[in-house]
Amino acid sequence: MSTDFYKIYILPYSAIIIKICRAYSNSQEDYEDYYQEVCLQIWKSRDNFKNKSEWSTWVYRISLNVCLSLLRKQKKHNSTNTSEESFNQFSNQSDLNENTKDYSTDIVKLYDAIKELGEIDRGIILLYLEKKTYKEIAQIIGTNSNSIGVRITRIKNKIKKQLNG
Amino acid sequence: MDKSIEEIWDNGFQNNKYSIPPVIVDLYHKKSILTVDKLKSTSKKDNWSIIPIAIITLIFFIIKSKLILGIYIAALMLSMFFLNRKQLAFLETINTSESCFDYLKKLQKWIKNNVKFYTRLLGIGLPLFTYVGCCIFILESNQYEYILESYSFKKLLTISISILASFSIIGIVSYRVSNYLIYGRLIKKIDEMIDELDFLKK
Repeated sequence: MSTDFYKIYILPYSAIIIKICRAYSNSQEDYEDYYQEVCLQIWKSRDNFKNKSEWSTWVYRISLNVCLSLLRKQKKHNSTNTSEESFNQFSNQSDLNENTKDYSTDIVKLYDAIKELGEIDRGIILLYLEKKTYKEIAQIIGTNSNSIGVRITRIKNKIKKQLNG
Repeated sequence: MDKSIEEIWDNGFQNNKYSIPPVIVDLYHKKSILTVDKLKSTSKKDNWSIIPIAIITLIFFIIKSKLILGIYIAALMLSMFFLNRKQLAFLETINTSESCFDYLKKLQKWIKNNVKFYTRLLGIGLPLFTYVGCCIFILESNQYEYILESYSFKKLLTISISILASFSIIGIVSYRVSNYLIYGRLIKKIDEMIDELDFLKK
């Protein structure tokens, strides 16, 4: 992968990749591997992008596909690490202001709740939180857009339960 | 918790530290080491599987009262096991601290040479050894005289050539198919990585 490609086509979208990789990985090491693999796959499949959707949608799709397939591979190897371990870096930030610190604890809990969801539900809620339309979510996940709304409500309820529980 | 999920999400990433991507270091390094490890373990398992098959074959022929034939086939299988082990010793010499392009290239060359070697071995060796096996079977079954009396030399020669030719084809086809099924994906992965690394070099 060339540095130019990385700077132009990946780095501006790295926030997307980071959020997805964090939601599917179980440790810092996994997260870095997932991130690298997503970048590699984006580069490898660059010729398949036909401008039918936005580049960011393409990045979402590849990120989700790669993370799902890596997660399935890993499940086979029975790798089990706690999410607490994976997000130590989230909670150990001492240089945050009070307001950010507050949200920093919440985001850890939210990530933990997201990780309790099924593989596909995780993808759907991440896309929803990233303000993708139902149509775009359906397009990325490869499902019918009619059912997305109902599914999101159900997922949000599950997360709320988890956060309050 | 009174904050909405959306609010937590939108504000949770305000700290830029959360959004710093990890540094990409030597993208193919880990991937190529994993591929080499997978190739090593698969080929080891594949080779060791010959041993139980040889034992089962020997027991089968002992039960069928064909001791010599059983020993012959089991000995051939064991020879194959030791030959494979000798060939596989190369995998242990791969130095993954070298540049991955270099050792993947060496590995690719070794795979190609191996495919050539085993194609020849099974294309020529298997029919010859099978032919000897057929002869042992005939001798052990005391059908030697009956066959010599019943068939003319010309007919025996035709049958022998047919056996040799058909086992040569069976040997090559079965080797290629099993190689594809067991190692196909790994070989494809190695080829792809080399192409990509080559592309990046250019």
